[in-house]
Amino acid sequence: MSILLRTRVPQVLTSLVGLFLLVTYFFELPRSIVDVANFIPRFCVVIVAIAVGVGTITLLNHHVSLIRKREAGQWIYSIVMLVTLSLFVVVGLGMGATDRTFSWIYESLLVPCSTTTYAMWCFFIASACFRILRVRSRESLVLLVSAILVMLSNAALGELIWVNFPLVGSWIQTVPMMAVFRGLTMGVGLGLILLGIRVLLGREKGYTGGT
Amino acid sequence: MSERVEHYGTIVLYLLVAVAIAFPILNPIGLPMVVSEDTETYYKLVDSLKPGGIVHYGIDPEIGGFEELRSRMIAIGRHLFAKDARIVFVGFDPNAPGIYKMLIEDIGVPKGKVYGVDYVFLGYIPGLEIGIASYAKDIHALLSVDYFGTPLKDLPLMNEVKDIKDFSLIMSFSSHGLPLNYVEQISVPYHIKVAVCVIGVMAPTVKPYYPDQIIGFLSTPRMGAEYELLIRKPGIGIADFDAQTIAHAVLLVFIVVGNLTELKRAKKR
Amino acid sequence: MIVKGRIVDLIVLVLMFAVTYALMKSKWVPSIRKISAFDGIKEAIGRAVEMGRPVHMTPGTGSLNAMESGPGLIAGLATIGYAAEVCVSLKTRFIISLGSSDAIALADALLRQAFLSAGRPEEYDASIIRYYPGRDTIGSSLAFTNSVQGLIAREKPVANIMIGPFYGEQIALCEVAARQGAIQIGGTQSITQISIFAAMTDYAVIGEEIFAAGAYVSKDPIQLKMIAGGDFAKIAAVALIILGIVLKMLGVNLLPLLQV
Repeated sequence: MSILLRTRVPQVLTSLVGLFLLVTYFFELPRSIVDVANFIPRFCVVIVAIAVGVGTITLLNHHVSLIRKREAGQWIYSIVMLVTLSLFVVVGLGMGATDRTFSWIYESLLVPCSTTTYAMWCFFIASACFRILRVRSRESLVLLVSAILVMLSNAALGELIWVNFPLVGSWIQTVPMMAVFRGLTMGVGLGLILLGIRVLLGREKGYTGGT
Repeated sequence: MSERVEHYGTIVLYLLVAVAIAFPILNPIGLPMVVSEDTETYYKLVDSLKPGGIVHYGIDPEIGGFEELRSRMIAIGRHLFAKDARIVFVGFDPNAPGIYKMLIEDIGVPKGKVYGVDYVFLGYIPGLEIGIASYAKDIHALLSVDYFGTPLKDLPLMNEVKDIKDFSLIMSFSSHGLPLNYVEQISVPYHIKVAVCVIGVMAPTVKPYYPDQIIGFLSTPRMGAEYELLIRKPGIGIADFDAQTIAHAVLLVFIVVGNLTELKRAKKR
Repeated sequence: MIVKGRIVDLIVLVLMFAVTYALMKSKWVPSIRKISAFDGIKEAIGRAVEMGRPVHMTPGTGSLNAMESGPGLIAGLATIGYAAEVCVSLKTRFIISLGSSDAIALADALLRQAFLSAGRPEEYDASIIRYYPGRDTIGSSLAFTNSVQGLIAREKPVANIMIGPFYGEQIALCEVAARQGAIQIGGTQSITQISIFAAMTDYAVIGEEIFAAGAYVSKDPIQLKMIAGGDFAKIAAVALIILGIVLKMLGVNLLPLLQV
């Protein structure tokens, strides 16, 4: 595929559709044009659904090649992955997502695995705190003190030490943290508008290749 | 010496954190707590609902986030049923159907409450912001059946709800950015305030909208315990709070140990 | 003609367009301050060449469709594209892990372009890109997190580049990579997750800096001018905030005017 097709065509298409949607957002236009604008986001939903299919094929490709190569320490898990994927697809399509069997598979497999992985983050955060919350500079001292104050205010420990500790933590979250987050939100918001302008003007090449 | 502290310290830390969390969950202690203003505000919001008021209950967390929100979702669900509110459960996250099943069992629907009259479940609506905007505009144009395939016109509750303005209270329980989508697609266009429950890490993103676009705001597992105290139905929230407190105590000890190690290292240099 | 309640928004947008366009046409080429994270990418890849270990990079999870993750994903892909070009030119092995199905085609295009730019299109290898289902597919990024953790533990990369939308996955990924002794470069536009990168990585890209990635690495004068346009918008925003505070103190309420 030539560079023109690979880069220019997507950029032009993006710019045209983006400008059309902007115009329909800001201006009162005939119903027929507004309906087209409302229909376009639904295209995105369809494209995402197709992309999920593409992703599944990529996933299958990768794991089948691992099984073929008998990749050490990996190929058994690839078999487990493929069997589980097939189970969900066959049962889901065959019996429907509201079927009791599908619900049972969901609750027995996905829920415990997801919950366990989420729970493991507790240990990662604990070891990260142990590693990171050390006084090496002025900034790290501020980080340490505010982290300790917020931790004490969220647990009963703070109240056992001083009954107004929760108010201190609440103040940290409501005043300085909120001020920083509002500033960051505004900065990110303006950065988003700028990125949108770059994309509309065809100057953002990052997503089509060729930085 | 300090390298050994680093290496074995991490292993000991993991073991102690595991014990610190497991013990209070298996044997809740019931540590003292003061109910915060945010929890009281949310409680009063639900308590002031008139009997028969219709509530949008947004099941919007992912599975991992659901575990953190669970105590709050259960406590508020029980409070809503106790106030004879009528609840429309719906989710804008793909995990909503699976979570609904677990949630409704945990809440325990009181005797006398009938599906279709007192509560319904509309299932998962895809599209995130687009889904919320379409739902807010006209529910019946978006959905013709509930999650179980029953036509909406056969559900007496849904005959009283056409769009977002028919709800007495809009609630979202989320572990990611959906409350902000509620603010953009419901609070701003329809001037209806939303009550949200989020996980702790989402709190700073959502709090700037409180109290102008968000009318009720619960952000930490501790608030689940506080809500259980207010409705006088202690549950997993209290156990979670005890576990959090003891785990925090262990972490604080290790932070002190880590800093002492760092101090020793700095002196050597 | 203009939809009610959006007039001020349109004026602001048109002004930003106008300022950006005027800057594009001007002769002045601004310079961006040093963003050590983007400079650190080359340093990290250089270290990978010396040690003979791979580089791992990921643009995060989320969907291109969603406002909260789409722009960050594009910015992350721009950074990945640059890093891939450097890796290909220095002939070092690298792995791209994706948590977003709609980014697969884009990442593939970037990868092909990287090999093409280096003059070695025959070396293109699709297996460099590893897709793991994330938030857009199953509503949860835990499959992505676990898979990439395993990937990092097996491949032992010497550099771990994570720039894009993240929702807490980076805690586990940073921790595993830290145990491998990898140089870590991370950044996200998600405000709640920035603090984790700032604390756990060697180089952090904070907030809107990730949107400057394309401009910073390419040094394209037009893109640099656009970054400057954004900075002018921020100065204007600060000036308006100060004006708003002063007017509020004087008892003047301009809010109804702004909602026209």
